[in-house]
Amino acid sequence: MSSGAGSSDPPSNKKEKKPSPSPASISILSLPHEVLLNCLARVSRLNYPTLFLVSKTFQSIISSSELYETRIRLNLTENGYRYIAVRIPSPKHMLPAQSSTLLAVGSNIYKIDSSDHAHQVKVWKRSYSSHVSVLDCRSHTWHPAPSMRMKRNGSSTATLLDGKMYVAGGCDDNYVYTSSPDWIEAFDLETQTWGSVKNPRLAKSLRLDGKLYLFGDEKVVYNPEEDQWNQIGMDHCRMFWAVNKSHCVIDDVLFYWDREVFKWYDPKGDLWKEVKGVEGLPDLRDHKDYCKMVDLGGKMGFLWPEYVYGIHGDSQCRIWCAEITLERRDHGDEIWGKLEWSDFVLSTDGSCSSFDVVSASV
Amino acid sequence: MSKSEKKIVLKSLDNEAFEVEKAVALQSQTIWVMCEDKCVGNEIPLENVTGQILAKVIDYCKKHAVVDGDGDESSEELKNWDTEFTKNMDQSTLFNMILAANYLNIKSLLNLTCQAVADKTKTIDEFHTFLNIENNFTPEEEAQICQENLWAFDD
Repeated sequence: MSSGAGSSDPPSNKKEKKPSPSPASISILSLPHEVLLNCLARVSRLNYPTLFLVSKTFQSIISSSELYETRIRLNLTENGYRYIAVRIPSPKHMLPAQSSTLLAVGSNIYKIDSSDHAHQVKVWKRSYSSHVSVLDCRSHTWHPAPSMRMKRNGSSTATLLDGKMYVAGGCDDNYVYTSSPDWIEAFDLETQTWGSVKNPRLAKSLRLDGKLYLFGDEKVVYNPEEDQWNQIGMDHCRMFWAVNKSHCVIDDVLFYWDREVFKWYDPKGDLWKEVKGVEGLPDLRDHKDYCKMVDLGGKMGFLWPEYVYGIHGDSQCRIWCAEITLERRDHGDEIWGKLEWSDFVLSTDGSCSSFDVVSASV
Repeated sequence: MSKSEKKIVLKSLDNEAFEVEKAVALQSQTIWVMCEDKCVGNEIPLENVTGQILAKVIDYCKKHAVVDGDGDESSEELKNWDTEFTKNMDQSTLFNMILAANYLNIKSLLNLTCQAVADKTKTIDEFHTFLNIENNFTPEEEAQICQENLWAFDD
């Protein structure tokens, strides 16, 4: 390829330090700092957890905002790049995946009922906690957030509405009655403080059309402007059904996965309609309860598990992710979906029976 | 950039001389500044680059030079060429290319080679061996990080 290729040169800037795979190997840490940042900014975010473990220097670089700024400067933040956090049960400690509630807010992911030292506390003891922590997806670091007034477990529900994070349920029923004033509380993201909300009883929540829908003993809708709860009519029962399945809200449209098809709710005429044109997904009838959906900044992320069994009886769970672009057609009366790609994004122990997913913008 | 057919000579650290067209060499901001300053003659000494690396840099610059008549490769072709260019480079060549691109201030080459480093490192072992970094965590610290980021690891 080049004129100098054949020469056996002993360049003076290559040091023979220690035996390693290639004798003249240079450490990336000896590169100028801005060049090092240039390299690391190009490493896929999916590899950040790995980068974290490489060395202390790397850990501090990744925790700094420097890397994020480099990424912006190099124009490596394409629009719609999303951080998808998939939470799986830990095979070592057998903690269920739903041991806490996750909510993505901008480029942060809030983790409600988080025990910092999960492995040190027995599972039954840690099931209720008022701790909240935040994952900054840009730097991939956890920070503590103000604690809730109430201790909750993973069956709590969290929804973002109007700059507030509404958290409800998941309290210890033996001691906390659903009439308790703090049974539902709201976290103001701007002031970073917890406040109380008038109290319905619920199990699932959903934001749609600027309102907060809650489903449980009662099915109610909260209008933050009026600060008032109203009963949802019987018509919305299927909405309740949908939120108990794999579902997500994208651009104010509620979608859910119904065995083999995606359906969406059209408030015009109060109808559930099928998303048309989605092709290329595998047969998931057996996994219908384990699939997860997530808003990827206007696109739909769809995740499912695949179990791979080895010849020695060992098994592995592979979590697949598909990205589906959505398009309104026919004056908005139809929604068409197109599978952009699908690939397995994470493999874990075969005992993984459920997982959780959130997506934040970075 | 002048349209003159003038050629210049680039001299490497180990005294290897390369005669190249000016348009090719001027993709390097460093060389451009040197030429502008007129503080050097027709021969430019490059004290930080070996002949072996400089030859590769020149290969890259020739491919990317916009010279009248033969500079109109399609961007697709150029991209494929770039991929092939870095594909089989060993670690030290690649890192020396990065250092050269940085010193010579050739942005596109710097970005290309940095990207190649990022592409070649996926697993923790690759980070340690390819990037040549010592793992300076104690086993306790490593366990602590694993635990803090438990949900993110897939081993």
